[in-house]
Amino acid sequence: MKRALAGAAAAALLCAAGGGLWALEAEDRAAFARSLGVGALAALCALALGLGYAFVVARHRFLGRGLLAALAVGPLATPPYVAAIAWVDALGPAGWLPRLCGLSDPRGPSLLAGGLVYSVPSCGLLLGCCLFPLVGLAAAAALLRVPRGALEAARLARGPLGEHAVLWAAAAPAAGAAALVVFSLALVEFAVPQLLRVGVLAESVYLALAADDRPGLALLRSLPLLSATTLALGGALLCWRRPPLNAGEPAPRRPLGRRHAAAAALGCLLALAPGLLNPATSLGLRLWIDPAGGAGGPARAAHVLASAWEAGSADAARSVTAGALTASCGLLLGVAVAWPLRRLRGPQRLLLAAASLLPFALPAPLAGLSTLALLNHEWTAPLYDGLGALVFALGLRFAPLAVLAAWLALHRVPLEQEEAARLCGRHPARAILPQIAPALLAAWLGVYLLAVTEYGASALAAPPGQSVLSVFLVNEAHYGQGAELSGLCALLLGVVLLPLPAVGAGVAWLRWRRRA
Amino acid sequence: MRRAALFAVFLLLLGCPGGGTSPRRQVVVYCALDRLFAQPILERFARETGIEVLPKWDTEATKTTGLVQALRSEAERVRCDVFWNNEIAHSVALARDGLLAPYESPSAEDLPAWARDPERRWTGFAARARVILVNTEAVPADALPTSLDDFLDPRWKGRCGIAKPLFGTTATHVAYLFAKNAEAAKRWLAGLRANEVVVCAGNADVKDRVASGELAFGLTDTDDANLALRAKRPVRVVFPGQGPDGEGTLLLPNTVAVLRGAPHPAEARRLVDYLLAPEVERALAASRSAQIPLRPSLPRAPWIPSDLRAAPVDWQAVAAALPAARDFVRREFLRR
Repeated sequence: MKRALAGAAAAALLCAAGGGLWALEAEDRAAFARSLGVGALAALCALALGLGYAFVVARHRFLGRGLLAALAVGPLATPPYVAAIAWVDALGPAGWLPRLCGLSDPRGPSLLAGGLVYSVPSCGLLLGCCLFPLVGLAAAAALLRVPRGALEAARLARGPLGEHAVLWAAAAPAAGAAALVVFSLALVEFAVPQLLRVGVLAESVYLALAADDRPGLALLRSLPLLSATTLALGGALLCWRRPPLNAGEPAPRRPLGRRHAAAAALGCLLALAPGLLNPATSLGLRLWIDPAGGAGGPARAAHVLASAWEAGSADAARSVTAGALTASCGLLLGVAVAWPLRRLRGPQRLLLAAASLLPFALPAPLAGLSTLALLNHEWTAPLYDGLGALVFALGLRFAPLAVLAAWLALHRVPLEQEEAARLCGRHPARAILPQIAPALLAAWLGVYLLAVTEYGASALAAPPGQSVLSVFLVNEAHYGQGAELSGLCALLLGVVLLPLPAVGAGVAWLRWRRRA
Repeated sequence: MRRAALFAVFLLLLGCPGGGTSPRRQVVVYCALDRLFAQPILERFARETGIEVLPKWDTEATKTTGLVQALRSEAERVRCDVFWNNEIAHSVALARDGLLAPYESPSAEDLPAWARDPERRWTGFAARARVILVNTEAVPADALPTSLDDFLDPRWKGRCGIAKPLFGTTATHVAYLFAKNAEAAKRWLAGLRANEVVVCAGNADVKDRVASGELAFGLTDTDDANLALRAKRPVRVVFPGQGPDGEGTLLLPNTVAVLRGAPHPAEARRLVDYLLAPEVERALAASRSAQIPLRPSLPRAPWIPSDLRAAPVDWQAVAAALPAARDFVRREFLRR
């Protein structure tokens, strides 16, 4: 029954995608092909980097392993368009790499300058490098649960090959699911392709809405995107549903020799380069050095940051508020939806899960348009004219992530514990919520990160006087890499990192409570 | 139930950023001029008058067009008071559709008549010119392009660019060409296609590509050209149509208008008066956008000729030509 339903849903989605594509013009079909190219490349790149990273940090022991594992969160905390700005700064026609290699030819576009950076592969690779920690973290979590007994038995039976087969079997479902999520995110990404001059279908949706005022056309253009992202997310759910190998004591990490450790660390740093190290270096240099030859150093950095604070502090405050509200409301909604989901069985559960996750597949401009269409009425004016419109649009996009996280977390808690809590005269939530609190905290942080850096829906939904930092930053990017842009990037990174100490404190408190 | 009620109250509070109930003096501005240049002016207005300014900025992807569509979609429930457009054709179109209210600002008395709507529904000030930005390392001094026809020269096949002519000043420029002579405009666009002219994301993109040498030259605005000049890139600015037989360069003034049914009409008129004052033109001319003041007595950027000849334009005809121009661009020029 379940398989039949899933098959029917997949067939319906493919029909919708096919119908949408058939009705679209050739240019839109080409844009969809580019979107698919960007999504597929991002997913493949994230899969390769993420699996490699996960095997290094989860299965081996060497000096600096913990630091490398912690740094893996860095690319996720760096907004992809900040990485894209630094990417152009490094590889663009006037970038430092073409100049260093003598490939910057003012009389014509060189292969490196014109052909590489502003292209579908460049866009896909960059997004893959920014999102690979999703795959890395998922695969590492699966690898850490591989039992010692299973590994030893495989080694005895088939040698090192057998061991690798077990590890692969443990990591593949999680990594595959995360790669499909990366595919979905890259497919509807809007700001990075715009900065890298790649015309993708998500941008065409935005233009149909904002420039042409043709919501019908926008909807038509969204159909293939919606279908592809929904299929990918459905695939991700199916991958995640495969039971992990988690019976028994986890296998210990293997020590690495010096040479191998150095090679592993170098590989990890290379993987982190486009999504974390290059943006950080580029930003630092731009804050520190005056390209016009003026005074540099800490005085300049302080001056640039003060200017950025003056220009964007109000936007930053609104970004933080909107992000925190979206994450909190999303989490409440997530628990409220996931709670009945864990009791449901069969097709109802599949339908409810699909309905909860569907908005996650919405292209960003469509989320913005839906918000405007739903709230532009007299009786919803307070929401439409205030920050509520923005929170609504962001929630529409990212609350499903909280639903998914809450569902996966609740799924791991046996239902018997609920009964036990009732028998003890306690509300089941008091027994279950502390167990899933770390996952909920992580979901809150994930939704917050996505919300404060979101551009596509925010550009449409932010009401007058309520502009946010991400939109300000992407719009200013067309002035090129100046001090102002670097200051705004630094401000946005500050906004992104702001809740980390609080979340860290929360995790420490939870651990302390658990020990107590 | 109690929790649901509390949640509803919380949601309502979300919609009220100030949280206060007393009526505040505020004005909502939809601003198509880049935030970098407009924000200091609006902040100064707020400081001097005590009126809170709530701006909504355009996005780089859609420029003016996005705000215009927002104004149209909110026509039933107007929330914008003042529309500060960074060009003119869309203001004329909005006025024609009855979305703008007439207002004769005392600050506009010394502005030229061509920059003012006969029915006073919009007023122009501080303009940008449409110019050809040339990379001096890619184009020899004796081969400088001087007119739009140079974009059709096979010598520059695939080496020159324009912004996507669906948005912003490039859309207005194409509409202007259509208003002048639709057949000639279509021939020119077809020629661009044949000469593989690069269609860039926007005027700033044109500037970046010319400055980096990726393109030999491109059609852009004076504000973007000024950024390249300030960055000391190897570029030169050519004002087309300035020769003895030329008809002049297309100047696109900013326009400001009060919306019909604006929720704060008094504050809106106050802001319009402020924006049309000579001080704002002077500030925009001195800013990095190097806008060209319409009052001849005010100074302009040193690289902009003092005797710059502006092309005569019938703005009503340009606004009327916008839909046909967009349609042709979408159907023929951008067709793959």
